[in-house]
Amino acid sequence: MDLAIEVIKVVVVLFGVLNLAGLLTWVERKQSAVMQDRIGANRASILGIRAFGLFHPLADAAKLILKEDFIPEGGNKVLHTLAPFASLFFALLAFAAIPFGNILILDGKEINLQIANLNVGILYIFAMMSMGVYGVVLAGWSSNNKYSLLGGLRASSQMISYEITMGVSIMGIIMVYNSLDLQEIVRRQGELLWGFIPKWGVITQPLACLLFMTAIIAETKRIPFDLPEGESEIIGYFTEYSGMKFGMFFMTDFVETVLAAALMTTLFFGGWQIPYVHGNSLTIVILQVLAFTLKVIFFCWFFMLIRWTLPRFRYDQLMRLGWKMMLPLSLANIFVTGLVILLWN
Amino acid sequence: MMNPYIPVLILALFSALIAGGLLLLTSILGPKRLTKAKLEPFESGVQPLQTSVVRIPVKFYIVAILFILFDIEIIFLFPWATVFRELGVFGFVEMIIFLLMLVAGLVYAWKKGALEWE
Amino acid sequence: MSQKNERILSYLLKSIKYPGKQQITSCLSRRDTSVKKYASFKHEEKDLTAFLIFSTLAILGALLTVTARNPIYSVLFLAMTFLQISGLYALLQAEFIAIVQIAVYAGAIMVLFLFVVMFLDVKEIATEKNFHPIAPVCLILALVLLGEFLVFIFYKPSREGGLSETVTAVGQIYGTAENIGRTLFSQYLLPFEVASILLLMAIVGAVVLAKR
Repeated sequence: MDLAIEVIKVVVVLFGVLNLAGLLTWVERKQSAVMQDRIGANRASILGIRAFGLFHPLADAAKLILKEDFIPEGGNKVLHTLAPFASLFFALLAFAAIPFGNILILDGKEINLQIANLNVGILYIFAMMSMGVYGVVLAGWSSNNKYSLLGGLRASSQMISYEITMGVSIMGIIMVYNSLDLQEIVRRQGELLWGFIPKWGVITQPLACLLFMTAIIAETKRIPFDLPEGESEIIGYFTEYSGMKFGMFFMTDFVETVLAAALMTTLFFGGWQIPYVHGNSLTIVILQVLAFTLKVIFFCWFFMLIRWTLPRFRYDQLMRLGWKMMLPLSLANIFVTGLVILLWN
Repeated sequence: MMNPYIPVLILALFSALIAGGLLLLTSILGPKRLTKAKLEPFESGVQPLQTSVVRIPVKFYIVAILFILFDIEIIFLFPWATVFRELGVFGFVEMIIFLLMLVAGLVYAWKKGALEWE
Repeated sequence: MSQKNERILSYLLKSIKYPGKQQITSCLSRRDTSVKKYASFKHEEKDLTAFLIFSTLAILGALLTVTARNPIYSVLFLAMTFLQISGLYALLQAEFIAIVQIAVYAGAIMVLFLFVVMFLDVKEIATEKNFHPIAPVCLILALVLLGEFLVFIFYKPSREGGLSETVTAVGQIYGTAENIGRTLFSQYLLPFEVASILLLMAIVGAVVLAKR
């Protein structure tokens, strides 16, 4: 019985994440079109129904699966296949620790709306994101293409550089809420500051919020940090990929975007909390899950919006921003947060 | 009470099935028409001149080393941040000393130009 | 918590000296969430199965690491071994160490190894089986280490419980990040600060080497 509940939770989360990721491919195309005053993806139709091009993700998936998949001469077959597998696998695995709702009580049974309630939840996500580097490095190496190899190294160096800033900027949040358990962090964000301001992460840790958001956009390799993937201008690590293997890197990207949005929501925007609403009744819990979903969708949309607002960085600018600006700033944030908390008490 | 890692294993199983299933589908359903030109490394249409042996800038190595060191620092920060309030001023000073050491390393790498990418 | 584990816990609290004992005792009596979560989780048969799977895969990964011809495969098998070891830590309820094993060893150090293998661009290791002259010494050292482990495993202290149960009980106290923090920043303060000097040395060393 317990096991059945766990399986249901896993299926629900995977269903939500993969569908949202698929939908995002459409959102990205449509939003690009709107920003450039075009009509955008609207051709795919089922029985003549176009539905604003909402069938495009389906058509894309079918197309990618039916495309030829080949491994370049001299490339390593095993690693060439392992790379997209590892990318997608670890990206999906990271969702285990994200709480998408409060504890639900059904027939006197407590169901925690989170796949796994880990004591070290945030560290777990951190670890899974660091495993994502493997896919990138292996893809570059196994392609037998010198530009892919360099692209892989560039991408992985970018990811590990920004992982540092990401880790250090989370520290402020842990200092404020005193827990590594994400469910606990969200619960603490339901408290009120001076009796009327919700104690969300963005209010207690504004600088960390900004740094974390920048770092996680770099981590997901989205514009303006999309050097690893600007495949039309700079050859990247998945140049030698075709068919669904290419599609899997593409999918990983959008899954990671959803993960980034979920982390922003959980750490800085109250997770499933709705300000001033507390309680464990069924209606409230459902509303909170809905609030969580809406917040995640908002951040996905926000990341897409950045795409057409900021131009791409050069590689030296990217590294300078990561090591010389964001890392010192995030370390200073720890110092200031510590001082404020100590003086407060 | 179940071990909280069992659901993680269930998720791992499902994720592996999805990723593996996609790989399997594309290898079964996709056509196989390999040609000599298709299998060549893609270099924007230009004939590849040499094999993929390429000398890699040593800067990537420095970044990887710096990453490991700061990663370890972050690992130390995690348990510290959770009990930060209990440890009080003393714990805060301890950590500042630790961080200053690493910042000294960062400043050294900075001054030596190890972080320049031009 | 089973009766036996409860006894071992109280025994440990009495006999072992460590600072932060007050905090741990109080958090045990308060049944603070970090401990309570596992209070009802006890050793079961399926733990043994999980242990066997993880340890077999870890040994297999280690063997493949040394036998693989392609250095990239070696690195990947070593990473796999680390993941399995992390599973073993999780079974011992040393959650923090389990995740650190993934984040630092598999996620950071192995990535550096991958980088280095790519720098050297070794596609395949030379086939002849040349043993380094130091090999016999290594073998002896390995055997000594194995002997020590065996003694450690089979030596039953006259105290209560075997090794595994003591370890589990310790895991329940020490496993969480909170308690590691309490111990690390009080009892093991000096090693912690010395570690920072070590890290500083490593940064300086890397920069000096790479900048000629």
